[in-house]
Amino acid sequence: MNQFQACVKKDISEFLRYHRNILCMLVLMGIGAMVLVTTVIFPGLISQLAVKAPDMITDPEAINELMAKLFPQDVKGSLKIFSSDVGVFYTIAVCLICHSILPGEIKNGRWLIPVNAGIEKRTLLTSKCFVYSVGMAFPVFAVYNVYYYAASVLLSPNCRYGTALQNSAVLSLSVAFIAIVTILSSVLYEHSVMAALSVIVIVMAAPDALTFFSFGKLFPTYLLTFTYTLGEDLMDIIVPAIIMAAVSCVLFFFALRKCEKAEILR
Amino acid sequence: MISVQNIAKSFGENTVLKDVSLFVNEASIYGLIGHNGAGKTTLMSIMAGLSKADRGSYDYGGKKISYLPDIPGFFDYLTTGEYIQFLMSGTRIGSGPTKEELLRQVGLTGKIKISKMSRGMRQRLGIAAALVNDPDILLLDEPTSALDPAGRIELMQILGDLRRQGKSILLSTHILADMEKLCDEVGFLYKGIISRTVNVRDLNNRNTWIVQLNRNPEEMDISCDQVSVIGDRLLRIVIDGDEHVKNQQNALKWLSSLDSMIVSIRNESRTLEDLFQEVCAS
Repeated sequence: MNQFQACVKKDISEFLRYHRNILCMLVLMGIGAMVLVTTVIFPGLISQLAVKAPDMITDPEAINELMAKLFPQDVKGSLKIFSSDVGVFYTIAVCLICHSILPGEIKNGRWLIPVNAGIEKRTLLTSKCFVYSVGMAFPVFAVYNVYYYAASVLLSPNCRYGTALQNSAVLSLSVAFIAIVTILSSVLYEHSVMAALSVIVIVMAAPDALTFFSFGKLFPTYLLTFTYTLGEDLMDIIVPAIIMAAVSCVLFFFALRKCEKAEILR
Repeated sequence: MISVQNIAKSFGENTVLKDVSLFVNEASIYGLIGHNGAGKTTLMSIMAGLSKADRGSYDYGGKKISYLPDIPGFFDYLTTGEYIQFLMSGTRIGSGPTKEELLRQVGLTGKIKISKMSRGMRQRLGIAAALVNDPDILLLDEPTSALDPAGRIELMQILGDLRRQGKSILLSTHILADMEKLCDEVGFLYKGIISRTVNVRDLNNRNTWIVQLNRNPEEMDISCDQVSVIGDRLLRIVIDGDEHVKNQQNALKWLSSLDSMIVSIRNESRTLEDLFQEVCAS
């Protein structure tokens, strides 16, 4: 077993034994259930209210319009809502999980013995990014596809599976990048919580803000915007994906440099 | 085998190491004594290559080195076997002992969860981890700290075994009694320098007894080389040197000839603790 394989095996053990896989699945399934249940139940409740308490609802048409926007009764619309909720809530979970992993390890001297035994810091860093990005992204892919099938049964099916599949892949890729950026930033920041906060703020604000500008499509956050709007043309995300990969490489370079320079003293 | 020359290190205004030089022989144990903050950990991490010295150099003659910090950090979610296996990926395959050999050497098995291990077991795992790359030199920072007496005895036995295998060990501990039992040589790190080096065997071989008599020793025939008069009715007997056992026998024989004149005998042999106090007082 080479160094990278050994590090990956160790990090997979960490991910699974601290039940991070279960946590991720629970968060995603919770988001999925919340979106689907409210989509199915809420519009019905409003209709009932309009019948039973007509005095409360002054403008039924406006309410119905709002309901259709908030709880679209078709698969396409519901997938958009699901994507944006994953983008907001799941991203927070990802940032909160990822921001403290590496600073904790390094500060507690857990790298000392492995480095002393000849394992390279570069490998430790790469493996952590690899395992956590895949570990955080795969549940998104799985739950998105499960959500598509559940929504197709309960709502009006107006979306091809191919579109859902490619959007699930793009959303997973976005989450993977978010995990990588959080992990690497946490090494660079003096306080790792600042890394989590800045990533959360960027992910929450940038996709909406950048839609007002034409160049917004070139920014990495367009990967999320693509899934929020259930995009179909994958060519749209090539540039942001390349930029995101480049940003990750630059962050990796600086994070590694900081790790190499750090004097591990406690 | 270990040669450290004129190491200096400061953290901002705070000079921790001024000019540290020491030498550790092959297959021997060198103890580093100093109070908290004296710079023992700093010196060891410099020697381990984890921290850079402002000045000075160290040479291990091309030998492999391994460092174990005072509180070793482990990946608690792994088992002992998994951890050692993980560390072995950093070394050349077939270049050192096997996972089972390493764990057996420190009295552990491979199935224990690290999160469930006691402090003593963690220290032993740390020793096994430090031996993964089959080093010739071990730097151990307070390996016996916070261990119970049984754990300390076990650890000292392991370190004694490693010395017999030809490894050179530099260790620090606050427990000076352990140093006296284990080390070949100790150095007192005080005010940024090794202010004194003591050969522990010489220290252990030097016994001083104060004998109080019921009559003035000037009236007696003192024909023993180890005996000197130090006051009214007081004798000092010092036994040291290469012929320690023979000298001790001579002194005891002479003492027994005094018979009923002896009022009391007090042991005044100096320990590392006495020497440490002397160093600090100076």
